[in-house]
Amino acid sequence: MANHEIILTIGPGGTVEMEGQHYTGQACDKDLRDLAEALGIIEKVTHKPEFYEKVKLEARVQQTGGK
Amino acid sequence: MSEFIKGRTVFKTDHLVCLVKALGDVEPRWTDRIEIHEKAVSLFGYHGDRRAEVANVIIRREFIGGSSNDIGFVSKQDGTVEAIISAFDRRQGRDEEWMNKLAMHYAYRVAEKQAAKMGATINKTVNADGTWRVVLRKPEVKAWQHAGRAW
Repeated sequence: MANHEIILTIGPGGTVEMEGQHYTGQACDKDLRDLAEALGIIEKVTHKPEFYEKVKLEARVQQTGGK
Repeated sequence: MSEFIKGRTVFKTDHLVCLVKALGDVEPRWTDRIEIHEKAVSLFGYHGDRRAEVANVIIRREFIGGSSNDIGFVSKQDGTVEAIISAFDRRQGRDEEWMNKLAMHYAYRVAEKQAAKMGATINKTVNADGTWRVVLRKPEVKAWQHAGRAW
C-alpha cells in the first residue's frame, strides 16, 4: 500500500508549488485544495502531463471503437 | 490526481499561531516574547508614544533593539494579515528580504499544521537553490478501514 504524498516546493516570499503523488480518485484534489486554501493561495491549477495523455488515450479509444 | 497548484502564500487570520511560530523561526530571540491578541491593541513608537496603528501580533520594541518601534501584524476584514513595520525598522533589516524569509517559514508552519490535521508526517529538505522541498506523507486509507472494521 503506497503512502499518499503531497510534494511542496516553498520558495522565498512563500511561493509554493505543490502536487500529489500515489493518490487514486479525487482524494488528491481535496488534499491539495485544502492545503492551498490554508496557505491562502489563489489557486492556479493545471493538470500534470499524464492527465492529458490519459485524455488523448481515451479519445483515441473512442474513435477506434475500442473497449 | 493530476493537479498541480502554484501560487503565493498569504498571511491569514486563521493561522496567526503559524505566523507567531514563523517569527520565532526567523528571529529565535523573539520566541516566547511575541504577543498575540484576539482584539488588536496599540503599537508604541520608540519614545514610548502610542501610535495610531493597532495589531493582533506584536513584537515590542524592547525586544527588537536600538531605537526600534513595535512591529505588528494586523488582521484585516478580508481574513488576511498585514505587516506594520516602520520605515526605520525596514532600514534596520526588516525589509522585503526579511518578509520573504518570514513568508517561507510561515508557509512551512501552515503545511505542518495541515499535515497534523490530515494525519500526515512532514519532512523538509533544502534544495540546492535554497528552496525547500516539503513532503506530507500519509498512509492510504481503504474504504473498509473508514468503516472501522478489520475484515
